[in-house]
Amino acid sequence: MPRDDSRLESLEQWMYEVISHPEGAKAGVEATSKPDSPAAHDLEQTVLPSDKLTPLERISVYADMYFWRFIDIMAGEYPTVQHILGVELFAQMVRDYVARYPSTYYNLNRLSIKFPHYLEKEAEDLPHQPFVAAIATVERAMEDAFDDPHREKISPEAIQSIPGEQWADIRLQFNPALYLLELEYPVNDYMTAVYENRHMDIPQARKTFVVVYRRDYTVWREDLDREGYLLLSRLKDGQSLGEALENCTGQESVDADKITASLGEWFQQWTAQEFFCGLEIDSD
Amino acid sequence: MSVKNRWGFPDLGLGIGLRTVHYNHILDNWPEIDWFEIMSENYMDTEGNPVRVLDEIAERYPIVMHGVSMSIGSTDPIDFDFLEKLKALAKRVNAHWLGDHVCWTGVHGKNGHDLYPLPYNEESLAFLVDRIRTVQDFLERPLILENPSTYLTFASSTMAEEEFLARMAEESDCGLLLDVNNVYVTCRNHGLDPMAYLDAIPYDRVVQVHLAGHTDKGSHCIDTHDGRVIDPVWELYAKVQQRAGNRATLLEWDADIPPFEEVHAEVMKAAQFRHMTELRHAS
Repeated sequence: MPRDDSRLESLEQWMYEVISHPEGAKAGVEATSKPDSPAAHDLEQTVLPSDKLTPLERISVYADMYFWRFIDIMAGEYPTVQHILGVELFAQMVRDYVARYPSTYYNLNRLSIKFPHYLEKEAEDLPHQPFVAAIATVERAMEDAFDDPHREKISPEAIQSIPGEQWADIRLQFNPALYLLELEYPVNDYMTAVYENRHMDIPQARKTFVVVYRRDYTVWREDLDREGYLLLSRLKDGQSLGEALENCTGQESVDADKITASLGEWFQQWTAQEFFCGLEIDSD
Repeated sequence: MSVKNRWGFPDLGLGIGLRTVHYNHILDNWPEIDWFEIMSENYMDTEGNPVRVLDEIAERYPIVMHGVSMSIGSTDPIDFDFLEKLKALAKRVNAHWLGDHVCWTGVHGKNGHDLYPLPYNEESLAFLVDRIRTVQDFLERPLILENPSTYLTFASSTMAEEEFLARMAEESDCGLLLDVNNVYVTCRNHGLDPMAYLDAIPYDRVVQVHLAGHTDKGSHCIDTHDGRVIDPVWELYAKVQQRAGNRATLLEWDADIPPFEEVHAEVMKAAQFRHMTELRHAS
């Protein structure tokens, strides 16, 4: 006869709902004691007291740790967001976020993938909302770059060996740990100030372009100028250098002369920064 | 008298849990320590610095894998993608053995990333034994499962934790990682006698021992891994050494982590108990 695990499943569901209730274990117990609750249990009949703790106090040990763990992890991932919001508001944002997007993966490193989106689009009454969301986007990219796959960089010799007439036909493979970000606020200097424990006022909105990348197992973030960002974005999308240059220089308000003049220096710099891990040359 | 574990897993000596804050010290100094235990999940889903460091360390020290995410007691389906990654990591670092905890971490697809307790009864025992067998078949090696620290008792439990663990190990043919700090914490929280707990453990299935510090709240203890091992836990360790003989022993220090030398000095306190065991055997 097949084994029936429904009682164990129901018990686990009940305990999870109690300890993950955003308003605490007591509210969780009340919510799950209603007969229409899918995992209805009576606390006193489910958990025994100890000599010193009631059943509610005992299950609260787990409930207290539930949100604390997520807050602790995300404070490590989003130190600048926490700095701007303050410890209490940041903790509340994490509680709200986890209630909205509970962890569904075995590894905690994916817990906060939607946090930048949540801060930008869903969080209510969030001070400095667009700036906080921009910061969160960068800090999330830094987390991702930390763990992304490792690929050997392209050698300077491989770049130098390309005949001049073939440059327009090359397609570059990018370091998988590289993110190109278009933001509404300048964030880099502010983040550096926070990391260095210096005060800096929240800056005025200004379109900014940032690259986050990993080199030698260290994650870096740098501002890009608009032209460099546009060119890199198109190359990263898979366009050949010729196509990317044509697309960029054809855009309104793009300084085509600047791109032409900077190209050699940019490539030297980007190669040294290990932005690229391979290249192909179109054969036709 | 001491007993060997039934798989012949080696006594690796004294080890330390590998933690990020100690990476540079280890790579710069290659300290004298017998082995390292890694938290498996910290080296899965990443190809960044953690695995680069681990590869270097695994070339010089024996590695044991100990995880927190298997959720062997959850009624959710077994996550074979997770197990595939676990198996690959074990091969990569040539892990001596791998394990997790007797617990569940989530249900219905949600994960609390904590070690939640099971009711200790025939129903959950049968469920757990089936799950362990399935996982062991997939991994092609025995699981070494740790007794958790627990903070509540389910009314539906019909047997003591130590009896549950002994039967689980016997019926599933898995190994045990005996965390003596968890024994202390659990017994304090449930008003039990830790020495009686240890009497019920099948030592031929104990492959490894954990030591750690905890936080005493007065009304209960919490397994925080944030300090030194207290004397009553050392007494439990001495008893385990007496009963089992020398077993691979590891110190966990996961919060307020001090410099490597301090963690090292703490685990080296276990050497005196191991030495006494050796003397006893010699005589």
